[in-house]
Amino acid sequence: MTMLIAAVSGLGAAIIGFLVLQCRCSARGPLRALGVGFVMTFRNLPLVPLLLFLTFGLPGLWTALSGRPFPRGLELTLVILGLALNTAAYLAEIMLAGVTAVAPQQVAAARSLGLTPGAIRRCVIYPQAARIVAPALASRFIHNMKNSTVALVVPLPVDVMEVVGQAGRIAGQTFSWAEPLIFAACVHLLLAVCLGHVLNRWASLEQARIGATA
Amino acid sequence: MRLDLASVPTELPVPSTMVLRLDGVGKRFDAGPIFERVSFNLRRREVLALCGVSGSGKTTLIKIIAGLVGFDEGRLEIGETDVRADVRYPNELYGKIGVIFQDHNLFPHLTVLGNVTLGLREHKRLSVRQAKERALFELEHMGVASLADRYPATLSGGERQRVAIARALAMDPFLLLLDEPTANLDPERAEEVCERVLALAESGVTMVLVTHNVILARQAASRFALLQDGCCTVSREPAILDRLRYRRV
Amino acid sequence: MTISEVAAILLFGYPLPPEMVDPRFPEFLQRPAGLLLTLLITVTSLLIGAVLGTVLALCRREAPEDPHADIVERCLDRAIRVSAAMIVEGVRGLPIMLLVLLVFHLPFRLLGLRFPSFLLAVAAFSLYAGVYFSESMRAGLRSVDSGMYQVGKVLGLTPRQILLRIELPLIYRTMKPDLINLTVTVFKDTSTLAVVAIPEITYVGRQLFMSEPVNYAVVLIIILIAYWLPATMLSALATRAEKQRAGLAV
Repeated sequence: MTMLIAAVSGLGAAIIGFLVLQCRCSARGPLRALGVGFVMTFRNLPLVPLLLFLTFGLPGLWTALSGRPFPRGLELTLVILGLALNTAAYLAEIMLAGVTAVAPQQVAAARSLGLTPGAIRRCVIYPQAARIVAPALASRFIHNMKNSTVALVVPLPVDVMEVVGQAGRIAGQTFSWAEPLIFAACVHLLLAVCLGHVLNRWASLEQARIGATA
Repeated sequence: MRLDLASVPTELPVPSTMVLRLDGVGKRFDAGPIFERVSFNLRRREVLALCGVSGSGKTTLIKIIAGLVGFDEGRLEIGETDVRADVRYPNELYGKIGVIFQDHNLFPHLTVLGNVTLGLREHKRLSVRQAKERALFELEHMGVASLADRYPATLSGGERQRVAIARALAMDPFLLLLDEPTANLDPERAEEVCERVLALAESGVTMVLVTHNVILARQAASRFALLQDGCCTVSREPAILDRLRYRRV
Repeated sequence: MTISEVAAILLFGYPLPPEMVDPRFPEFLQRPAGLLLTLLITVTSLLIGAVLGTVLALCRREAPEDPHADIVERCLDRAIRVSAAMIVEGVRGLPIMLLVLLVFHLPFRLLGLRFPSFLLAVAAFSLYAGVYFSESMRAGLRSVDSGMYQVGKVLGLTPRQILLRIELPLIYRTMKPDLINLTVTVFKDTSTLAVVAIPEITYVGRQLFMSEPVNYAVVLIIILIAYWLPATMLSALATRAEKQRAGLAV
């Protein structure tokens, strides 16, 4: 379940982050401001209150404003949304750094070859930017997976609880926190280390293949 | 009036004549021996010019004498202290031998005055005022006293090297090692530094001067050593330097 | 309850009953809770973390090549380095929530020791901060030109003097943005202490919701703003420090 939360929120974060990136690079002022505002907000909001707000505060506001009851059973979705928003803010920053790091001569060369701006972005800028910031992106995704433990603060149905939440449930029954916690810790460490290795290996392979941009 | 090094008391007994003696010193790196069986003596007030092409091991030899790098065979006598290959460099020698490196000498986060007083305050435990006096004295002699409050990044290469020499001299060393002090300088700046080195030589500082600059070597030194192909030949005749062969790249 | 009352409780915690108040000190300092407690935990953990981080970074440094070191010294050096590395990598791989839970439950469950919860909170975050601090310091120390160490040695400075007078001042500028970011991270992550009943601002918010008729959404919004303002200001500082660092590298 941890992995599911991590994967879905990671994917969501990537999509949202990409959209935010577009906003920040856009030529239109209000869109740019929106992008900057998004990053500024969600980078600096801590996860626990954010998730609490999404799962408890939002339904309250919803019913207060619209009079209709808030749909039930959406907790997991909201948790994933919260995680995705947080990570998306960081990803947007990283992607922006990557895009600006691509040498402007590349764009000029592509232009002279007659590529449209969309094609330039797709074939020249993004692939290179992605490779430049791949390690930073990888580390953020791993951090996202670790953040999934914050879901503990939200009462989730048992079958969708993540590792540490399950540990808590078991501890509630056996009155001992030690074993389930240590087990959960090992799981996380293992996941983090393995994912770290895999992603780093992939990132360095990519960089070796292409050659990091000077 | 130049302070006569002979009259400055140091904890280490100043040797009557022999300041430095190398006896069969050899150094090996993984790729192979750098040099072997290097031997020479250096008496008080003598200046030894050490020449050789890049890579011949001159800097390594300087570092060995200064205690920054170990060596594999032979033995050193510095002052009256024995340094053997298989034993740690004696701790008391640090701070007694002045070293001027080719570049990156000065600490970028300290002013010129700060650079010179650092060793005086930390190692010799002088008070702030005493350290400042001593430092300004040496800086005066090197002609860079006006730069005392500037940071190294704002100085020219020649000024930096002169400050480095002042810093080394402020520690009252009985031996001064200079590793290509003019190598990274353009001719004008190099000239400033050469003048100072000559002045030091004339005033009787015991020095080992590693340099490419054969003219400086001839003027400043009383003995000459050539480090070439792993061997060291020493002589009183500058003519030995003519044997310096530049390797074809 | 009015908003200002809610805010006061969130920032400073519940008022103490009058008999528990020591008249010599201002009242709100005696019941650290809410944002006050958050700040207290953050600052204390960072200070201890800095010390811990320095120790870890120094432990992980490779000793300069010393052909004269005997086998015992070498083994000791290796042991210190490996244990420091294990601590750092172990703590880094854990989510903060898990770390907090471990620190709070293991001492009692495994060793039967009870500690005041404030201490445990500070311990957890000191570990967290220390580990990231040590990584930053290691990177900084590696970036120092090795020639600096040699010049220091030749001037007669001991390794400790070289570290204090030469290396640390040199890396201070490079470490600044990382340190500011670490401060922001620790500050925000103290919210995870709410699961272990530490009365910091998030937990107080929940207490408030469960005991008084307040709109939880409003409470949470206040909490979010309370975190967001300092975090944003510090982040702005961090960006400036990053530009300074980039200026150095040029």
